[in-house]
Amino acid sequence: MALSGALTSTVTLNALRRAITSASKNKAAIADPVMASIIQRDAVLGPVVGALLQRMSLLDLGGGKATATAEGAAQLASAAVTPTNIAPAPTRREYARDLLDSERSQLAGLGMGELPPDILDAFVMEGVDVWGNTVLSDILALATGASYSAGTTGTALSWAALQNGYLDMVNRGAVGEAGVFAAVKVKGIKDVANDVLSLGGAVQMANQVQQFMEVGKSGYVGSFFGGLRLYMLDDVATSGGDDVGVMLSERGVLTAHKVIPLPESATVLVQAGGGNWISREAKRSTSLSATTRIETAFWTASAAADPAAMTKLVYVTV
Amino acid sequence: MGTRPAPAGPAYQPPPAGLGPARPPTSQRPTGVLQGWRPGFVLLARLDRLEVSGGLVLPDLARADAVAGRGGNTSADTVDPAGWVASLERQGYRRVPDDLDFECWGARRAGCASGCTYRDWYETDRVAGRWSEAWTRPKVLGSVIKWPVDWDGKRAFQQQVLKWLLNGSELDSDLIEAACAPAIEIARAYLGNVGNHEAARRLKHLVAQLPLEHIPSDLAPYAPTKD
Repeated sequence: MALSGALTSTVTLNALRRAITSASKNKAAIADPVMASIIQRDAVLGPVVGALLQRMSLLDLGGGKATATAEGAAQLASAAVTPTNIAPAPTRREYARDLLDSERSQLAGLGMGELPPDILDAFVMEGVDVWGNTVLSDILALATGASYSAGTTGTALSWAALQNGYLDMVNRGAVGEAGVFAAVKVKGIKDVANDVLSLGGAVQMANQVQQFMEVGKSGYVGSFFGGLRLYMLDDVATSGGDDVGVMLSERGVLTAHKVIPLPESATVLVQAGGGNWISREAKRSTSLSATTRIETAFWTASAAADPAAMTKLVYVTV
Repeated sequence: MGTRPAPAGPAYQPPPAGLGPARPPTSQRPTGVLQGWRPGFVLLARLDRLEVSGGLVLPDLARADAVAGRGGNTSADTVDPAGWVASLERQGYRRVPDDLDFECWGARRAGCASGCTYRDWYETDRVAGRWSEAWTRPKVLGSVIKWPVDWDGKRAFQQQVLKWLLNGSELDSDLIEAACAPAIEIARAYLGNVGNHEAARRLKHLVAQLPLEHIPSDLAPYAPTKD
């Protein structure tokens, strides 16, 4: 933590406000219907929002066509049934803050707006944001291993790449009720915005394209092609000169969480259990004097589920 | 406020075995030091997932990061992403060998310090450092750090991967067509507006990625000249 010395002045009236960071855009992305649908299927988070799934198996069903046969002929080989199992194994993630006694004392009452008066409470509050950032970052990182791709390595992202990637997902039958979540970095958004203007005609003048000229502060760029919601996010993966964005429908990812309650010896701020999957603990530092350590911990995992439901959006980083 | 360790962020991971340097105190860290953290990773490829780049048909590389809990990794997979690799192998991907030699940044990669020809390790301000593909390397410009790319080096690596995947056989013409199709589709979107400078620039750049012998006739006028 780096608290400004000016804020601790006992002479000047100060207020402590939440700093603007690029991660604030993650709040809109984690609330997208595709993300909500993924979280609903999570075994631990599912009960909180009304659904439950620990693991998922994919059965390739209903895609075949019958073959013409003659009576009395040898039997045809039957279609194999080989479900693919996906069972992400939750692992522990931790985020810690060290808070000096003097900081806590001097900052008491300065919290304004979305910040609570006690700085300790602000760090407790931070835990849900950290969880959201982590899960979103994990899901975005899965794009580097996606089987399906749109865009071209070493070249700028284009409207046609976005459109073709979406149409291919529709063609694969991969788009569900929640539509498609898509995320690229700001470079990718700029690429597409410049591109639609260069295409001219129907594309340039289309109502949906005008959304590039009125992008809201949340990082949500707009809805395109009737079912793709595009976000501008910093946590999009990179791979050796390219950014690797993602197009994702709800079947593309399975997450898993685990509730691990803190033991009696812990100074519990917020306890895991009872639908709360994050533990927050305050403990006096054993290595630093007059310091309290606030630890946020949770167990999480994310894995690609149905390969057809994820497309990586490849475009040059610079 | 005193000197304290940096907060342990979500990306704060133990260093890879035998590679992670001890983190120097804040006061001893040089200015311009690389920031952040990037996990170790493994590259995989499969013969039916190809892309075009610089006039060549090359394997589209999939990457599995060594982050526990991500992509099918277990809590033990912090150095080698075995869980994620197994998941990709079930889809038909093959793990690229660590010892494929190629030229990058003007030097052969065989025998490189990281022990893997396509990975490089950089010390950073975190306990765990930063792994990067061999064709990107940091360039510190005061407080700004750029990661230039040796695209020819990347393509040289991908050519070796393709050779390894083919194992002496020829690349099927249908696979070549499938690899060229996305770039051709995108390039054709610009044909209706070639008078626009940006559209013309993008069109030429896309066509330049295609192998000369696979540039369709309607895009041929925008192909790079041989000189």
